[in-house]
Amino acid sequence: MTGLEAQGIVKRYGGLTVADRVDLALPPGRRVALIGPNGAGKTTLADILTGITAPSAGRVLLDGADITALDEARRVRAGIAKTFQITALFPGLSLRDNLRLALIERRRESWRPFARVGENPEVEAEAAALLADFDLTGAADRRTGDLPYGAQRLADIALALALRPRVLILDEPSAGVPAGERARLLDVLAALPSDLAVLIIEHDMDLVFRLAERIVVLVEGAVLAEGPPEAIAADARVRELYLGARHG
Amino acid sequence: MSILLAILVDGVAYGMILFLISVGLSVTMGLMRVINLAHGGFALIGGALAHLALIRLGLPWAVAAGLGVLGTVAVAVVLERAFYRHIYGRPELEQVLATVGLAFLMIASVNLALGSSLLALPAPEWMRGSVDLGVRTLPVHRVVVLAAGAAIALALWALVERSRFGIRLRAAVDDARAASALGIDTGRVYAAAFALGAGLAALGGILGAELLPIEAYYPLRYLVLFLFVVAVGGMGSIAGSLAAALALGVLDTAARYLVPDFGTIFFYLGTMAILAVRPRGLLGRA
Amino acid sequence: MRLALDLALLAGALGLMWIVPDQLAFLTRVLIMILLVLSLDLVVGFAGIATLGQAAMFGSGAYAAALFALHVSAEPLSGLVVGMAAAAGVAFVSGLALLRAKALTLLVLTIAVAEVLQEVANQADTVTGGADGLGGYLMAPLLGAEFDLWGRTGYLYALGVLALCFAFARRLAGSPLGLALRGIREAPDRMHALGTPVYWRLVTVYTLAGGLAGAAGALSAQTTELVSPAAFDFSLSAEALIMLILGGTGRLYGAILGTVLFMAVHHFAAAVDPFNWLFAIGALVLAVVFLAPAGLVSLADRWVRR
Repeated sequence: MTGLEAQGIVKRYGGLTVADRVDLALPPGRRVALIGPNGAGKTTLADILTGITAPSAGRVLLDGADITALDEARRVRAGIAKTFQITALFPGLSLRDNLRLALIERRRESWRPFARVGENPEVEAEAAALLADFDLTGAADRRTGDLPYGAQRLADIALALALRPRVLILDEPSAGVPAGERARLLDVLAALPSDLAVLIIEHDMDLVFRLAERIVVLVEGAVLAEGPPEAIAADARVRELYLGARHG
Repeated sequence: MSILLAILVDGVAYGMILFLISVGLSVTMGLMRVINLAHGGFALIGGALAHLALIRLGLPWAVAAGLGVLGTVAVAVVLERAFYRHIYGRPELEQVLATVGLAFLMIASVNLALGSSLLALPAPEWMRGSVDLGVRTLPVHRVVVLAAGAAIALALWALVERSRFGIRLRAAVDDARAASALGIDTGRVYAAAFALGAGLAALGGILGAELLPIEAYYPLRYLVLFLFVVAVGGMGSIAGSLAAALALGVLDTAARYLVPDFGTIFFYLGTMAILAVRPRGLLGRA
Repeated sequence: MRLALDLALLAGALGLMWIVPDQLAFLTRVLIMILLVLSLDLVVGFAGIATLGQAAMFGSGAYAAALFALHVSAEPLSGLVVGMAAAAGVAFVSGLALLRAKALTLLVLTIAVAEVLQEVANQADTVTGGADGLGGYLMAPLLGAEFDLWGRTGYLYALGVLALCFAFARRLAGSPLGLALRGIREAPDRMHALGTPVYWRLVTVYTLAGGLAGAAGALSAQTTELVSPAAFDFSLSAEALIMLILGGTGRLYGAILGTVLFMAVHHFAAAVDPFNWLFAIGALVLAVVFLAPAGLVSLADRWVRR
């Protein structure tokens, strides 16, 4: 199978099991949402997929190759990018330098001590294109630490896309985004490249049901239900355990 | 056999001195997140005041030592208000610069007042003898240092684990903002912890004058030693400071006795080995 | 603008040879110290590596250059290269061990490396001359110019090496590696998520900067024709860090400004009052902390912008 795949992931901390034989498939071009109440183990699972945390048992595969032993940086180079729950940019650098940094790393140029930042036309053109795509051209030369929060979230996604990933993991992309800027975020997420596999971890059900083709419900570290949005919305256990609280 | 015992006694006594001087530094670094490179200055001030009281005023040793500690606490309270409070929360490098600047001023002040030569702090008559413990005789000075160190370690443990002040201190170390939300006056907790740490450093400086002689450059000459104790013990951990100080004290003393030619090399290699295995120190929080 | 400033600095440094021809030994020490502080700026200012052990590389470069002059060749340029290579080697090996550590642990480990090397220099007296250090070697002429009694050749030599190293450091700062290092300083976790092998980037800059510190050490050994275990002193590392923070980190010019100011105040205050000059240094340091916390370069920025 192609795409990102998790097989039988188990994670224990002492006596506590936070992931219990979780299977997850993320084929190219698909939008999958991972939902579940707080403490369900969503972030742990994401960390296992991105290589921040090692699983106690189970395998992570990318295009059929076992990548369980690769660290985070190597997985990024293999094509798995992510955005952060709490926006993480380089606050003291300009937005353009943030993007250049990602582009330079993707192109493996940072070992070249005698190249000059800003003089590679391909990097500059690609940075300009990303800025234009995200409607951030006007903010290009501002320190990202000074940008409004919504713009920072967009920049975080732009940074991930600059890596040209095959798999993108979005950790609560709408967290903290003010209502007025949500529409723009939704547009951006809807316009993500169509061949990209996207995993969205999200609390906002409205966003999940608009974007996801498939939903995985995680409860207490185990998959409770999995299926297309209509099936999940109709699933009695899910309604009771999770959606019931919100949609009454 | 006797050399092992000598290493143990001298090493533990040396470790107790290091503990007394460094524990305050560990707490300030763990609690206020201040890199205080001037901390050794409090041992210097304590030693210098005790020297004045003992030699110039001719007061008894115990009175001079008490005055040295109290005087240092007073200086520390003033400095905490007037100086340290302004650098809490600043970037690390600014704290480094600020506290080194303060250390320079401490050195210059002692140098101006008392000169750059050694400031004698002779132990009193009763400490110079030996005491017969049945199996062996030990120098009284070592016994006093061991007893004082053990008593203070116990008292600190009781203070931190059992008193209201200890609860506030631990809360502030864990999460300063949550602590203030609970109505704890973290400013006062900081000031009290800081003054206590400075007083202990002064006591350590006075008791340890035989091992780490008091002179104007003291704060920077022994700074490395104190930083090592804090790093090996784990920032903010009192028990860690004690364990680290004893371990480093015994290690250094053993190296001096057994392989004098290689000076301090084993001390540094030992420290590196400990930190390689436990990067956050013996009892540092993960 | 920057070129004009650089040329003005260079012209000023050359002019000093005629203005204060009797102070060239001191001025050469200043140039060497600027080079050491510059190397520290790459490590601390750009990559954010907390270190109080840059003297490890300075001392390694100094001893390597002195040993090379004693046993192999008194030709200065090859000795300089040997010193840089030795220091870069020490930085690489110690960097492999150190650079996974953080904060206080890293600080303490960098100190320990320099102290261990100092002990080795002290104890291995058949090779290093022990506590007395190494002397008794005379440098051969530099590109035909004798090292003269007035220190003119030594001064020009140090100035030339410093200018080249400064150009190298600036090139590095503006390179993709320089940007990656700033990224690591700002947010190391985010760099991991960009696929950067952060550890290896840190080892790289630590090694390169170690080479520059080694050049400073080699210059010191060659121009004074003397090297002692003091080259590994903690106080050297600490003073270099103070000078860097005084001037301002991450700016390269800060290394020049901070070093010149610190050493000038030290020099003149010690001349006025050899016992109480430390008051002047302490006051200077505290004034900068509270009036220009981002370093003296930040004052220059404000002045330029106005």
